[in-house]
Amino acid sequence: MTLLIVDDDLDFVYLLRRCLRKCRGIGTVHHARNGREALDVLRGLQANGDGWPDICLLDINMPVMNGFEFLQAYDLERGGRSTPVIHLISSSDSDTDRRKASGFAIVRNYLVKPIECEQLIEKIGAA
Amino acid sequence: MLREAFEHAPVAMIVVNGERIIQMMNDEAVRLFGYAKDELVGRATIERLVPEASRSKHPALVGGYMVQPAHRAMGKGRNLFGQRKDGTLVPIEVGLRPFQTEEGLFVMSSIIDISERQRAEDRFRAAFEAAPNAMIMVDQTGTIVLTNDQTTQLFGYEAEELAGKPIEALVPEESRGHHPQWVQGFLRNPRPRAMGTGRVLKARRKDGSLFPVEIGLRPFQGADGSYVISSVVDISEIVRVRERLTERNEELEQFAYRTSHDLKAPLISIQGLSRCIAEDIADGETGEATANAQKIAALSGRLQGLISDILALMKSEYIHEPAKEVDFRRILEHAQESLQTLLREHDVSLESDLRHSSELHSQRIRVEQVVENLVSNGIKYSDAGKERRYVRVSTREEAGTFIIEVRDNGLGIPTERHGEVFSLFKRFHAQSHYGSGLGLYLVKKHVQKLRGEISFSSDGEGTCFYVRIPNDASGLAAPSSNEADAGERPLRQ
Repeated sequence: MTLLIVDDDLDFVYLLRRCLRKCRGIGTVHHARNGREALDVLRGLQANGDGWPDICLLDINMPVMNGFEFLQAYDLERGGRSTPVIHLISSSDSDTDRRKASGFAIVRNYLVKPIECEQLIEKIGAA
Repeated sequence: MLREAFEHAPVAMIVVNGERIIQMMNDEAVRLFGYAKDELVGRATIERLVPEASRSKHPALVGGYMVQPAHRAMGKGRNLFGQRKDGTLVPIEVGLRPFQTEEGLFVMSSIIDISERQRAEDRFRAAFEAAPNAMIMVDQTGTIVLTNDQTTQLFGYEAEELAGKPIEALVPEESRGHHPQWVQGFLRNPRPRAMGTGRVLKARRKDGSLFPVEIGLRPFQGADGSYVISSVVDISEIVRVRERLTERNEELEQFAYRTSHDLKAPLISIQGLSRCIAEDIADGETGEATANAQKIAALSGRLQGLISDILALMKSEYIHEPAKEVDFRRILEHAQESLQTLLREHDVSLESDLRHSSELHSQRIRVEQVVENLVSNGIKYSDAGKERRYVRVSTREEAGTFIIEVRDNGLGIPTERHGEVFSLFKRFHAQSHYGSGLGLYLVKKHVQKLRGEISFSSDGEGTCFYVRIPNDASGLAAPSSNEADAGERPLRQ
C-alpha cells in the first residue's frame, strides 16, 4: 500500500512516518509540502508508471496551494479514478473548513491532530 | 347698557374718528396703556399709543384703511406693539371694525395684550434653538413650519429655505414615496417614540448626500392643529465606531484563533517527538533520538519567536517614546547581531548603503523593529538557487522624508498574493514554518504610527520594501489619530 502525505508541517510528517513504520503492509510513503507539490508528485508517479497512491492524507491550511485548491485540481487530474483522501484536521481548521472538506466525494474520512497511531492505522485500513 | 358693556369689556377697546382722534376708550385700555381717559379722549390721535419708531408711518396706514374699511386684524403677519404712557412697549394683537354714524366714519379697535403668549413663544423658540439636536416641527400635512440652527447646519440649508418645504426634502429619495403615509400614520396614533426603531435611518442633506440619523418624534397639539416635533441626531460617528468595533472583534477572534493554532501545533510536535525520543532511547537508537532532540529545540525556538512577535505586536500600540535622534548605523548593527544565526544558516550577506546626510528623528524602537523584520524576511525567503544571496539596506533623504529600502534577491512574493502582503498570518512560501505571519503586519503598523508609508515591489529577482518616514521630531510622542490607525489594532479591546 502506498501513501501520499500532503502537509507543510515537517515535524508532524516525521511523526506520521514513524507511526506508519510500525504498520505492516505500508509500502512507499510520498510527501508533498503543499497542493502544488502534491500534484507534481502525482504526475511524477503517473509518468513513471507507478499508478496512484492508495491513500492520500491531506492537510488544508498550506501555503502556495491549500488543501481545497488541491482537491479541486486533483478531481480533474484523477479522471474518474479514486484515491481516497483522509482530511488531517488541525486546530486551525474552522467548522466551515471541515464541512467544505467533507463535501468533496473523494474525502472519505478525517483524523484530528494530534494523531494517535492506532487511529491512523485503523482509518487507513477502513479507507 | 351698551356703554356699560363697552366700558367693562374684558379686552381693551378704543374708538377713533376719521381724523384718528380717540373718541372712546374703556377701562381695559386705560389699564393697558397707563393713560387716564381724559388725557387722550378727544385730545390725542391714536398715534400716541403707537411706538415712536412707527408713528410717522401710521397716519398713512390709517388713511388707507379708511378708504377701504373692513373688519380685519391689523398688521397681519407682523409683530405689533403698543407704547404705554411710561414709554414701554407691549406686544399686542389688534382687531379693527369700521362703523358709520351720522357723525361720520369711526373705527373700533380691540387690543389684546399678548405679552404672555409672546413670552411663552419666545421661551419655546429659545428652547427649540438651544436644544442640543436638530429640531424640526412639521404640521399635519408634513410641511416644515419651524427648524433650529442645528437643523440648517446639519442639512446644509439656509435658515429660511426649509420653512414651507415638505419634510420629505430631508428624506432619502428611496423612502420619499412612503414617507407621507408614515407621517399620517404617526398623526393617527401620536405618541412620543423613536422613528424606525431597529433600523439605521438615513437623512438627506441639501447636496443629496445621506447620513445616518436617530430621530425622536413627539406630537404637539397647537391651537391651530396638530404638529410633530422631531429631534434629529447625526449618528455617523456612532455608526463608524460600531463598524470599527465589529471589524476589530472579528480580527481579534481571527487573531486568537490563529495564534492558538500556531502555538498549539509546535507543542503537539514537541509532545510527539519526546515520545519518540523515549522509544528511541529504549531501542538504543541514540542517533535518531539526538536528531529529535534538535527538532524539539528548533520548535521551542519557533514558539519563542512567535511569542516575541505577539508581544511586540501588543506593545506596538503603547510605544509613546518621544522622537529622538536615531543612529541608523547602530540600528543595522543591532539587526546584524540579532539575526546572525539566521544569516549564517541561509548564507545570506547583510549589506548596507547609507546615504542619509542628517540623522533620522523618530521612535527608535519602531524603526529598529521595522528594519529587523524586513531584513529577517529577506533572509528567510532567500533563494537557495542563487549563487550569492544578499539583503541590502539603503537609506536616503528626500525633502524632509527619510527613506529606507530593504532589498533582497530572494524568492519574491507571488504576484497574485501582493494584495495580502501586510495582512495577518500571510505566508507565501513552502518554507512557511519560518515565519509567524505577523512580521509584515507589525512593520506596517509601526510605519503608520510613525506617520510614514510602506510599499514594495517584488518579482522573481527579489523583493524591495520602501519605507518613507517623515523626518521631524514633531508630533510623534502623541499617539496618532484614531482615523489613521482605524483598522490596525487587533489586540486592543
